[in-house]
Amino acid sequence: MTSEAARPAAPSLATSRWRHLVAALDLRVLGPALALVTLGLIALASDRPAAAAAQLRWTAAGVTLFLAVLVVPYRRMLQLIYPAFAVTLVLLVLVLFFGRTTNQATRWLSLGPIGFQPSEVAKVALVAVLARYIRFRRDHRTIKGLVVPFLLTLVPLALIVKQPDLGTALMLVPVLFAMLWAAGAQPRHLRTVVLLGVLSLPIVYFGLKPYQRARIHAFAAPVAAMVGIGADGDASSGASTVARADTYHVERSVTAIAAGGLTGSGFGEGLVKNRVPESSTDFVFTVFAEEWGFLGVLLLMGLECALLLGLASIAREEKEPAARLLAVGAMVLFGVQACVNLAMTVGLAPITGLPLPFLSYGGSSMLTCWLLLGLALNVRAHRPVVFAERDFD
Amino acid sequence: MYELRLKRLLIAFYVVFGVILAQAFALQIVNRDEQMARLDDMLKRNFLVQARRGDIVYTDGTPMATNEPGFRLEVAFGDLDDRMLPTLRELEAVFRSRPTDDPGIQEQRVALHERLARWHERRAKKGYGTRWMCSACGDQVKSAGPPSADERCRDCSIAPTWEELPRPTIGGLAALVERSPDDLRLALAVALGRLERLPDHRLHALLVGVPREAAEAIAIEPRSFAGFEAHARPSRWVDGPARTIVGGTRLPSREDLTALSNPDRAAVDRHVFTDAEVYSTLVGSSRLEAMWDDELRGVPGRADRPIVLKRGAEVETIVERAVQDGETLHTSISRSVQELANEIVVSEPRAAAASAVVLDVRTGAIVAMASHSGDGMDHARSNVMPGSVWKLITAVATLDSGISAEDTVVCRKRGSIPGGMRYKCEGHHYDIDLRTAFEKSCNGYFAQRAAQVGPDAMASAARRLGLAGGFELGLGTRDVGPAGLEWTSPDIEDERRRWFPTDMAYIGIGQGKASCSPLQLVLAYARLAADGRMIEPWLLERKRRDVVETDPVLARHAPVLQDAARRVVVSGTGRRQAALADVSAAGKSGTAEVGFDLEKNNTWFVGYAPHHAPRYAAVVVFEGMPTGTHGASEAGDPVGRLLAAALGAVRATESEGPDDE
Repeated sequence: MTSEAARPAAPSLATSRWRHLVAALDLRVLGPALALVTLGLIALASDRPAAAAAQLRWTAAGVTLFLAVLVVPYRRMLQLIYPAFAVTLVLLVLVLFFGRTTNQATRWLSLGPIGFQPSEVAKVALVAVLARYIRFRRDHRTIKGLVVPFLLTLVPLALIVKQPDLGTALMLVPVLFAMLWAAGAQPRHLRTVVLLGVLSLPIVYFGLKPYQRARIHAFAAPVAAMVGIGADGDASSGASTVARADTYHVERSVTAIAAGGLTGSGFGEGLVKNRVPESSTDFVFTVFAEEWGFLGVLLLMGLECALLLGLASIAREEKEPAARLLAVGAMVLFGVQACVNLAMTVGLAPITGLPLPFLSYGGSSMLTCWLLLGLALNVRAHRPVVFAERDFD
Repeated sequence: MYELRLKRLLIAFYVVFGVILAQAFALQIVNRDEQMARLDDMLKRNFLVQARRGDIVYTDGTPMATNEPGFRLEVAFGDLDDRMLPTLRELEAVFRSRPTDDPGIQEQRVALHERLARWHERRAKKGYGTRWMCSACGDQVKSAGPPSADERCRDCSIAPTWEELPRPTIGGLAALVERSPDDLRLALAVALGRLERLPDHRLHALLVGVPREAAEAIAIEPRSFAGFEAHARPSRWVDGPARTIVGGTRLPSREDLTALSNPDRAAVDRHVFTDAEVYSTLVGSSRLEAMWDDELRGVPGRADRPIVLKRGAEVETIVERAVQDGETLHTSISRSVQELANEIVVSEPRAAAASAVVLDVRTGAIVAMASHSGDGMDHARSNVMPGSVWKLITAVATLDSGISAEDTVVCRKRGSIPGGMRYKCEGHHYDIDLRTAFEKSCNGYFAQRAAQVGPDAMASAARRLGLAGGFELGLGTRDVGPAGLEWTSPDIEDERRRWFPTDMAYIGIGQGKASCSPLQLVLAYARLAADGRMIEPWLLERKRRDVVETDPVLARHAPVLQDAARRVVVSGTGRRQAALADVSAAGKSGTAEVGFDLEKNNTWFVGYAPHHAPRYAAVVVFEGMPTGTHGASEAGDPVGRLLAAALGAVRATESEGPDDE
């Protein structure tokens, strides 16, 4: 981590903008991100060459977006975040009525030539809106002050659940908690909320759709799911089919990962990857682990850790509260998404359908990752002189 | 505090990553062998080697029932990889490129062309359209025409160049043709439109005449034809004349699945089938096919073949369980005699039903057994009113009761007997003895004798002649006629079936409550011809029974009765039948009056030949013939021809013997 003392003296205004932009390209973050993208492209090239080519184009678009985001000062962006957040909510409502339904879920919205998932945008918007709301407040340190941040989170969460996209929706909760916690919320208040959440789990469970319950069953009791005891004990129900399919997915994934051994089977030599469903999106790690082995997994994990460390360093070095919260939010989003995806592929978590950041194939996912990274690094490009004399506490 | 919280957050993520890494380590390093065992299971294709259903054969080894040369092949068009399939037009080109002078093939090609055109038309009407592939990501859409230039791909959201894909389903059959180049029928069958829709929206086609090797090769290596699932399924061929003996087969039902997959089968050393095994086989539905289904079905083999994704890699099939083809059932049926018997039973258009049986007098082997009727029953083993052919039983009962063959009774054209029963005869026979009565089929004599000896003596005679019990032929029914002893039993509640003294006049002449099957009756005459040896009929070699006993009563009286039977052919009712004389036969005719107003006749003739050294016995019966028909005139000649055929067959076999040596 660079220290304040080591920073050079302020240059003239014209040159300082570009120098700040260049300084924002923090290799502690960009390095791991680009490396992860590269690993993802290699895995895709091995699995679906056509998809790898498309992913390369999406990466280029993502990097362009990243650079565009870097140019605009984040404080200016935050000034517009409430209207932007409202637009996001409107999009989330629109997708329920006009969205494209795929695999029984309505998640895609087509705006002219662009098709995208508003829920992906909502993740970034939530981080930004929370950062804007919390930055100069202290009332979130009271139980009453938690109401607004929770409302800001629960509204998009409910709309995303309605799609349904439970995996993405649940991503928002740790982001909220982490940002509140980083901003100085009282742990006992957060514990109380968590306790209330735990107590409401039975209600939430019975409010889930049958296939969502079946996924939990499949994770909790794979054997029962294999013999066809579904959520309602009805072997012929669609939920049972989902449960069996999920168990099947995880079994295939775990076997493929194991097939990699220490050094992997080599590029294009994976045998099991063709038998893993969604191998280019949700289970891209499986393809990678089979062909690169444990050493490859170690490398990938190291890069994920380095990315989080880089973002944590930015969050630590920045003094402006919104900047800190943006960095923390980005770190938590990347971290939780990676943890859930990786845990799912190795059989430690139920299947949620979350992509692995920077690796999984998909335009929306790639653009969102670069957008979020752009926001996180933007705070370095447009650092104010001094805004806070002391930390959140 | 902020930095501490940040650090804790980071540590929390690292801990989770650590757990995931530990899990990956456990999978890839520690428990890898265990996982690789599962990988082996995942990367091998387990397939069935269908057992060949056993043959049922004639005495000369030619098949009564066998699998068609080849197998049926079920092709299910599942996840077809369109990019790997040749087009339908290419398939047509394959056919057209094969030169042939066979007019049948030429006709098929014309028909193929027409049906393919109709197939295209139907698809177009249903809006099936063509598949189009996104050039960027490979995603596919289906539409009647090419997507518009600005239509975006759902997957990658760009407007790509759309590539037209070949039509799925039928196109891949060209690959099958190449796999089995000598068998045009394979592709023709499918291309001719035998595609059917299954409940789960798959298409399948049953292809007849596919060589077993080709069917199995496709079943083993479906990857050669991406998206195909193929199952070999045998097709059963049954010789026409043998249908009433062989029975039929059918595709398995859910009940068959339950029965064949019942673990209790293992307790009786039967193979317990899996669902797949049951559904890929045929099940016997009647007669020999049903009764010997377990033996005929065999046990499917099971084998694994590793799936190797690299081209050119050599793989070895691992046989888990060797296939056991079904057993062959050897029958006692002579093909030539059976063909004649079948020809005879279908040749009489006036008859409601007809049946014929030929029995080997020496061994009891059933040489031929044919039946023809509209009700689908096997009339050779069904009870029929016998008429005068039954008089042999009355004659045996008479002699067994101590009455001499020379003792006479008075016969008038119409008369009555003690007890008030009346009879009618063909003529005034006055004082008539047993031989003459048998020769002239005198109703007066046999009606009076039956009434004289009573039900017990008649039942005893019936038992001696083989009418009392059932035969276990292996055809699924043990009882082939009413049991003789049962007829007199007071335990029988249904009085219509019990014999009373007042019934005996009619029973004595084969009317009233008398009934037996043609098989039983020919057995009775065969025992007479065999000098009272207690032969039993058999149909399958494995059910063959050697004759060891001789009935002393039959043996004592056989010369008298044989003489009487011979006189029937020489100077009696059968004297005008040249075919009987040609084979030096002896026998008896019978005409039973049946129907509500006795307006129909069952015309019988039963005989054996040659009379001096009997070798075969035969019976022919035409049921429900019009009034005025007679047993000898209708059935005598066919019996003579059957006996001649049987004797000719045995002579041919005997003459071939020395040549073979």
